[in-house]
Amino acid sequence: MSYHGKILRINLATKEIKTEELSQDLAKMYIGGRGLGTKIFSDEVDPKVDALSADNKLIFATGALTSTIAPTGGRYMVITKSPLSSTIASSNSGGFFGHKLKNTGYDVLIFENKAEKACYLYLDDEKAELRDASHLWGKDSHETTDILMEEIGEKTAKVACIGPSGEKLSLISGIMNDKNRAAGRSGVGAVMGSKMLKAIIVSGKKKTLIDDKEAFKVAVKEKVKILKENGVTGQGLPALGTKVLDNIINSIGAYPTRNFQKAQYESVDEVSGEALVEKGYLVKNVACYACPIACGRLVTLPQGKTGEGPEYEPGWAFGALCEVNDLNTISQANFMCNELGLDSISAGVTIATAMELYDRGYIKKEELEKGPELKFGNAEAILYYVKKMGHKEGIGEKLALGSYRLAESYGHPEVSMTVKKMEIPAYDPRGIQGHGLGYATNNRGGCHVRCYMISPEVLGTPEKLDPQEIKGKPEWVKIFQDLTAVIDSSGLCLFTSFAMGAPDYAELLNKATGFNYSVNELMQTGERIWNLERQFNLNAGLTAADDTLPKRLLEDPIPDGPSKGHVHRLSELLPHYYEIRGWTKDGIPTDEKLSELGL
Amino acid sequence: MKIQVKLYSTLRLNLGVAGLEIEIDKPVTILKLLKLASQQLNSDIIPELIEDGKIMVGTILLINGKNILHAEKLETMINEECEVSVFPPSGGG
Repeated sequence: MSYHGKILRINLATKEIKTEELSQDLAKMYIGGRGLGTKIFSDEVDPKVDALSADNKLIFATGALTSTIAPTGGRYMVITKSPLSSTIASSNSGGFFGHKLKNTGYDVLIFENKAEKACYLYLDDEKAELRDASHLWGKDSHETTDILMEEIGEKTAKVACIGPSGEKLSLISGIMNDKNRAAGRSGVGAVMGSKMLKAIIVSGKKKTLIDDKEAFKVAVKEKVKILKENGVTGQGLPALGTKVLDNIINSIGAYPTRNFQKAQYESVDEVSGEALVEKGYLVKNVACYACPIACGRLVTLPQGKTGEGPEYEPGWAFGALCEVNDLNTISQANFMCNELGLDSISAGVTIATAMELYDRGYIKKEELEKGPELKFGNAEAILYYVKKMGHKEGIGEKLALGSYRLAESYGHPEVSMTVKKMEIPAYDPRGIQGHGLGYATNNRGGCHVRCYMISPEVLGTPEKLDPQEIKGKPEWVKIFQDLTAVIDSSGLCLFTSFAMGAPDYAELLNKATGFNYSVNELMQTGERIWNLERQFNLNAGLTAADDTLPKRLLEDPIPDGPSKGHVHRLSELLPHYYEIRGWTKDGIPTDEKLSELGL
Repeated sequence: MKIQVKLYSTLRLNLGVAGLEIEIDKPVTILKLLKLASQQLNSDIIPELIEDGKIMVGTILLINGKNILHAEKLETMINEECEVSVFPPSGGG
């Protein structure tokens, strides 16, 4: 089983709340989380919907293994149409909220329509109520969480909410839970803000039932052992968190610097994961629910400010990409993003875009209204403009729309390092060919976690591939995309895949659900989810022309370092990728493929 | 010739050393270089990187940014001044 079999549908306009049954057949075909949420969403919502209109819906979906003892089994997914990329949006988060959400006895929440006044949802295993949130509107994510926790008075309750940036419909705003965990990407915070839904607080004690409890326990014990004994999940990630990557990616010459104008940063030692420890900022590791890895970082800065992170990507975005070498300021910018409810990757990349626009004279000094100059390397600027962005003040109005729309507004979209208008994270595709193909074909735009080819191409897991080789890469990309769809739908963390493979996920899912997936069936389920997302995007109006990378990455060779001279070879990779996907040369799934997948 | 060896991740944190310079008078394999580094550091770093004679999954050894797994692995020769980056098994973002 491992599902409660219940969906809660909340109409924010009429305040009607009703419980519906979750079909087990649907659960088996789409697992849960990302897959199941996308299926429900695409059945109910016109792909051409205006993402910030009342007709868009907002789904919170737990996975089949969420709130079980499976390692990292505490994740949930937010599914909606993205106002940033106009694609399907599904944004994943850890912490403890997903676990407590499932404890309410519901697998999925569907928010419809738009509230007249700011509200929040209180949900436990006995009641569901929409309550007034006018006293919370304008508060940041930490204040909102503290106020709600005090009001509710239940110590084990958990909160997901938006900050001021989501309220103000910033297209790069996320949904924060447990204060510092984020369903960060795709602008899902703006959709929540457009519905005047400030927060969800969940409480409850309903346990997730397991099909074969004893066998599941044995399997879990074995998977925890695999994770503990693996060098990456047992040692590297616990010791340095995700920021172990700063030096790795910089050393191979794929560490985007100065808005992707360079691929190595001379000050990396000042801003790396090692520096976070050596400078004494790291207090301790932080783990999400049921996680044996504990990659999270609790950090206290010399001036006394405490928070979580930065993770590798936000640290890089505010650091190397803006050529800022002050780790204290970078950490503060990350804290601010968490409080304002901004996607910290997109926020950093957008500021780097603004810096290049300023550097080239497209943004004029007068427009900064006496604010700090948007010069590369100006640490003061990143804090100042993150705040402006979060509150949509002054030039922050434009920054809050993300990198692409910012650059486009000055007539220079080529300065924006985005795919499908979403900001590209911390790996230069010119130095890592398969990963670049993953960016170009990603169903939600510039995203690294739907196809983390860094594993084989850089880290060497499960085996080492040459990052500049293109032969065989489309096949790897397809496998990684399909497997990630399975992991996201299961409610587990992607980081388990450094040590675990498809048979491990199949075993955990089978013991928990009783569905008895073969490994092939499970991978085909991942492929079904990928194709469902693709269909949604095509019906929303996207085409093969959107499966691309910024011109700079396709035409301008990396100027220096180990990847010197390379561009991304997308045109050589994409046709074969379409072919092995069973899509036409225009990137459209064939009828045969759709029928094979039961779509 | 002088070889710059840079240590990262848990090696750097545990040893409290970011790197060292090794002087060699003739070409050596990277395995030999790691042994020389261990002697100079007074600490055997090999078990952190290599198991049963093989590079551990997740270990990254780079010569001027190029992974030795795409050259001659532990037998890759170092025959000119270069920078060697040493990462024990590491994670992702």
